[in-house]
Amino acid sequence: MTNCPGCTNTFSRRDALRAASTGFGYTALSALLASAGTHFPARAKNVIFLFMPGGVSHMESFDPKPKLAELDGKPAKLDNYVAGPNRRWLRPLWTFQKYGQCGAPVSELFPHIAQHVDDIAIIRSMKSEFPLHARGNIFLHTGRNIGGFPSLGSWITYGLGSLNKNLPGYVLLRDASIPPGGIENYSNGFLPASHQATMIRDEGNPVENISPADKDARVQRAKLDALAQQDRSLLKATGGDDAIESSIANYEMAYRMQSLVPDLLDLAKESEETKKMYGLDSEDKPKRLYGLQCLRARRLIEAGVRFVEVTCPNLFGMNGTWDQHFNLKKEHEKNAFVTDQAVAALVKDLKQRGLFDETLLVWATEFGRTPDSGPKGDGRDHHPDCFTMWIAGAGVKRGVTYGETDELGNKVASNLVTIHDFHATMLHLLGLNHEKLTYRTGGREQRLTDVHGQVVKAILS
Amino acid sequence: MRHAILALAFFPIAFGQDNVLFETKVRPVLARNCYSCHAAEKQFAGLRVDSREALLRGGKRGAAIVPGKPDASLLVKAIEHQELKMPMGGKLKESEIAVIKEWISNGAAWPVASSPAGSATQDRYARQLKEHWAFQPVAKGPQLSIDGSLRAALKKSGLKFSPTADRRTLLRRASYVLTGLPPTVEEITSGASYEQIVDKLLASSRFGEHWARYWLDIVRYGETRGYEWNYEILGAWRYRDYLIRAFNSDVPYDQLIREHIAGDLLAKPRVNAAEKINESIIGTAFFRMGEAGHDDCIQFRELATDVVDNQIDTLTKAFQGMTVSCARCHDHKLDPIPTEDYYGLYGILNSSRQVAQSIDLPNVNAEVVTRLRKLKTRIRVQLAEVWKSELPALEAKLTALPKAKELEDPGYLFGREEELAKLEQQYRQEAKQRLEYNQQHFTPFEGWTSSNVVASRDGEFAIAKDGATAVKGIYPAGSYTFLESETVNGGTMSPYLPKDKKFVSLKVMGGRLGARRTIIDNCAIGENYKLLENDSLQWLRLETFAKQERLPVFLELVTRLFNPRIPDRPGMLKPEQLKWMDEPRSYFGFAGALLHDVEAEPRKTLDHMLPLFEDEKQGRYGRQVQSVIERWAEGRSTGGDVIWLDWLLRNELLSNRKDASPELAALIDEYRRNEEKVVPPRVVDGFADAGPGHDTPVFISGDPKSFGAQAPRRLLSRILGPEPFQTDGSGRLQLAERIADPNNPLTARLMVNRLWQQVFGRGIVASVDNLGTLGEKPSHPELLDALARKFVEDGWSVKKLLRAMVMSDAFKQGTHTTADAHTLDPRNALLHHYPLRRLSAESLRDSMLLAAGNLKGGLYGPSIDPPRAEAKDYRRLFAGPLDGGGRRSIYTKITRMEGATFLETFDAPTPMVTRGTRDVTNVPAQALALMNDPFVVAQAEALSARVRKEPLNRRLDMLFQCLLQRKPDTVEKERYTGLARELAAMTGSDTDSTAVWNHLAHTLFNSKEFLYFR
Repeated sequence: MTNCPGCTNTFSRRDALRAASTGFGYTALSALLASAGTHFPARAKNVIFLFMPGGVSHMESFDPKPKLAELDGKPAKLDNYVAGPNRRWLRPLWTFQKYGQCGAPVSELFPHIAQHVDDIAIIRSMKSEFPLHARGNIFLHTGRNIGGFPSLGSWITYGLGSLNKNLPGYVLLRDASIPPGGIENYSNGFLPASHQATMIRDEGNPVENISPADKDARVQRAKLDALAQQDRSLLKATGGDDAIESSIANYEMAYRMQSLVPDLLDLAKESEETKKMYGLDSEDKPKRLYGLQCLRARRLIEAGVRFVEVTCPNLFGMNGTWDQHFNLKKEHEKNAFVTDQAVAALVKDLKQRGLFDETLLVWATEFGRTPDSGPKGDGRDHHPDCFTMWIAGAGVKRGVTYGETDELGNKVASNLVTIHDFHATMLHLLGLNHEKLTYRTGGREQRLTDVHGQVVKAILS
Repeated sequence: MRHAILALAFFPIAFGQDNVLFETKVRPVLARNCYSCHAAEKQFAGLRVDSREALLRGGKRGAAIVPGKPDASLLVKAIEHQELKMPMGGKLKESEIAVIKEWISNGAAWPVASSPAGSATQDRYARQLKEHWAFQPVAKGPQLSIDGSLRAALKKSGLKFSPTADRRTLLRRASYVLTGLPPTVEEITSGASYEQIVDKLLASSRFGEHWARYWLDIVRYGETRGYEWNYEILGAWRYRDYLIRAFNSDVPYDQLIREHIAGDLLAKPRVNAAEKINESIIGTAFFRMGEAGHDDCIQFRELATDVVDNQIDTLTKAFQGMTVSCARCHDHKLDPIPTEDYYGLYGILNSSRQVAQSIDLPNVNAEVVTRLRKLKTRIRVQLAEVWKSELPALEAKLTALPKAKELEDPGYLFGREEELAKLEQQYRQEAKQRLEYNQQHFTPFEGWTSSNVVASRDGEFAIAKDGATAVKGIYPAGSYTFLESETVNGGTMSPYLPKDKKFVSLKVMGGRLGARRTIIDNCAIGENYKLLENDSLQWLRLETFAKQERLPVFLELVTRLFNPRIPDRPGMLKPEQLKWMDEPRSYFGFAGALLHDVEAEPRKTLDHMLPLFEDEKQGRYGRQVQSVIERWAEGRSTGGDVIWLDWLLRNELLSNRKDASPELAALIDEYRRNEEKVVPPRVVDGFADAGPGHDTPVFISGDPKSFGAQAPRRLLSRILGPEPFQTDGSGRLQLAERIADPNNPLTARLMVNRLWQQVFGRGIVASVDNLGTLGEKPSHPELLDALARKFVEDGWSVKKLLRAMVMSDAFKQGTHTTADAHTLDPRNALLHHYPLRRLSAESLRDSMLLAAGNLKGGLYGPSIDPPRAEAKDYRRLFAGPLDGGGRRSIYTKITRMEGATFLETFDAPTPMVTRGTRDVTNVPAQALALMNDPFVVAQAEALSARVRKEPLNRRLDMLFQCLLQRKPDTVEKERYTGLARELAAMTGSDTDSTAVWNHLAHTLFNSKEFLYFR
């Protein structure tokens, strides 16, 4: 099985990783990681995936629908999962303005992101499959509608390896909440466990077990030194077993991670200006925490983490903070307030540091929201048939808007982009052919894109 | 084969190629983009596009296709946005349009069934069936010894076994392999032979815990359902206990198979007299361990089909080593499994009911229930005596009643003596009319199946469980869970609802979280349920969902313990309902169901009034009531009597007070005292059959809204035989027999290989869950067959087989290997040494608890929530104690959405799919956990406390013995003494201080010798 260009003839990527995971051929793994095989030259080295859970309203963010203002309050008849009597069209609750040279319209919800429309590619013709959070989330993350499959970040680290052998390849910056679908959204599925997400919390102890149990560093060092001696004599006694050898090596890596990770998360070296840009001076705590996570995302990328996902502080409900069936006005506004500035800061910061040319920045949500509203008339329901996401950075056209929806924001009118297409495009930008990035399990070669997916060439620069 | 011939007859064009094009490209495009508006459910503009005929017929605008002429076809004009702009969801991709055009220009072939596919596939099947090793019968032949076979293979490569391991190493190995725990130092130093110790390990109750945990990986065992709200899987842990008992008592594996697949249907279930449970029925819980969602299964068909998919996947991987779920959308690409095989299993599972079942034997409450029934008989007699004594006062009380307004009111004729003759005529006419109306519009809906509820006769009654009232009610014939006690929980389910009636009405009552549920397409935790909150019988009208022609729908009445939606998610139950969660009392009563189209209740009958016309005017009521009471006292009540009794009690015409007589009060007190002793049933989410099963059609491309040919219910038709199962039920029993058949070439081989893999670290077939063509080839095929044969001959005894394996020389080898051996066979497939093996997550955690003296010995019981940084109660992710209550890891709750992090760090699987072998990863997170996890530190401290009870010169010995079952050598003594001195200096304490010994224990907890066995 030689399905990856970075592999030698004797070892497939899979074999090498599996062997490495049991210790056998640890050195082969290191060699593999150093060469980090892509299928063709990559445009992007790493990814920051900004996940907006719950479903952001497309017609109130990046896809204006003036027609809805005309229809506001009139009975709506749509073929969607909430269809029935008492449905009424709902006008967009925020006004739009054109920004930048490209003149892309952005709603007043996102004044900061609006300043960067010339840097991003807005896709208005996204389509998902399920108006259900658990499925939508799992689909967005794994390309499948049920748990048990590897997440996007796991596939990418599996495909590309790590850029920093002292750090995990896939990091999730999260708050305390568990999204519908569960931790399964970030699972390595059937891929080796080294590709699972390392979670970094916004509050409290950021990483599990990262702070040394031995508060006195000398004590820990002394213990680890004695341990190393102990283990090396076992290694000798067993005739140099690879599993033990790599297990010993892991202790050294773990030891270094104890100081490396807190260093990475420590913002002491960031300027006041940078912190301010991310909103760390805000009086609003969720906004500060989200800013913190975005700034950490940049630091992690700089340090060589392949894939960083950032989730939003969960302020409303239990199914994703953007899930406004009711109270759309107040709650979308608050979510936008919490996230807008830091997301914009990330674009700016990446650009300033020259990272925008090697990093892929994705703003994603599991589905959009319905053009109509239920009897209460103050919210919108789940809408997978069309919605907006945006992507920016390495290899992506800047200042473009791709795809159209109909005048109601109900269906895709042109240039449909499925979740599989989106995944295929992301992999493509990372130098991976989504049809060739495979892992054999359960009787077949599995792919992130299952048996679907076409690269959206039109947004590639 | 028949379908292929039909298809060829209808479409005399090159079938193979076009069929492939059609199934892989054309039909999916149509199904995905057009079916939602133009297929079975909707036909916008009169058009259907789900058959060739329909396309030729076309819709309002005429024919949709002209075969051979894509440019003349309206369909093409529509998708190219020439005349129409279709589909609504956005223009098709150019490649898709091209495919449709190509298909039309080739004649628009539309095969009748999606499978069997073209002749190329048939050829492949034939070849694989002939050639692939796993599809051949298990070879007959002389019995081979494990060592003989292995040695012969080694010899061919010029290799041999590694020298025998020393006693400690070997016992540590045997103990971990058989029980998941280390041996004791006493075992190692004792004079007992290896064989004696092996037998002791096999007999230890720890054996069952260890092997049950292994089997839990196979069945993707979880205790919550994930998705959004993480509902509990009822009694999941009882299935875990069932496995522990089964492995400990060496239940034959074929029996275990039968129980897993059809334990509820076995003619002679396996009974556990001590626990008073039906063991067999628990096995079916295996099907229910997967993920499941609560959303609407009509709108979101995949919610149901994905559950079944997971069941098919688990079933076929667990018991057959086949990946049948690969055939969900198309014929299996690599094994001889046509897609109709998938839907054959789908039919079996869709015909089985996913319901909660009581596992109690009938004798659980027998003694107390017998006593309660006897008491009830006496209470009835006493009460009847009281009532008879009240008869003289009846007329006066009747006079005082407000005049009745309805004909059916038993009091209606009282005070209307003057009009009797006229009324009699009216009554007789009305009675006839009402009866005719009811007969005309309502059909009885019978054939319900119950668990833990028995049918009762007219006039059965319940004693009020407390307070001044004597009788809670007197009821017509039906099914009532609470006749002896509200603690007796139960459930009853209807046959499938017919598709030719709009409504079904149930005469029901219930309370304390008793509920009615409508189960659509087997979606076990769907939203369509409501709590019953009426204490007298009322008609409840429900939809039949008749429009869902394809979906099986049935009704369920359940008490709280039988309701998989309880505990419900936050916000679903009102505070006054939540308070009922504190005790098991819950009930419903059910007195019949009717099917109908009219949107009305059946009219009330008048038969109970007619006797009044046949009596003298004077004193009629007194005599009527007297005979009602007499018949009731003798247990001979009629339906009409029940109406009378109910009316009498409701209007307080007869007293219903506990203290109506001292005898009555005493009896009721005694009854209530006894009633407290009733225990609630033990319930698991399992499977049940109810009535005949049904085949389902193939879902074309896996799309549950487009249907191909009916798929007969059977198993692996190409490999195991094409005969459909002959059955009146779901077919599970036949499925179980087909798998447990000694002649099934997959079953015994698969299990033998699984056990071998657990014992030797690598399977004879390395891909333990896949014996198909993409799986690995067996390294020792003859040995595998010999062992499979022996396994069956030995009565499918797991213990005997394991014993043979661990008694072999192969198992007793050392871990040393030579450079030659390593070069020739780097993966050790030939077993030239015993591999070094990392402890499983559970063994690691359990060994720590054991060394710390914290491991609690007991078996079984509800699971303990894992420790969590933060509990998320709204997702039922509760936080448990750091040490898991000192229980073995198998008792840690397996929660979907977020698992037990410590265990998962060491490769405990997330419960999604069959995992016959775990990954054994080696990642820094493991080092971090052992260095810094508070659980590890706490166990190290506990071990240190144990050790420090010893005199100073014995401590180091004890520390090593607790963890490694040996004493330290001189080098190690020096090393640890040195470390102690160093640590003492750093911590400003003595070498015998708590701090220093805590550190020493923690250090050794991190040693690889502890983490691995060899």
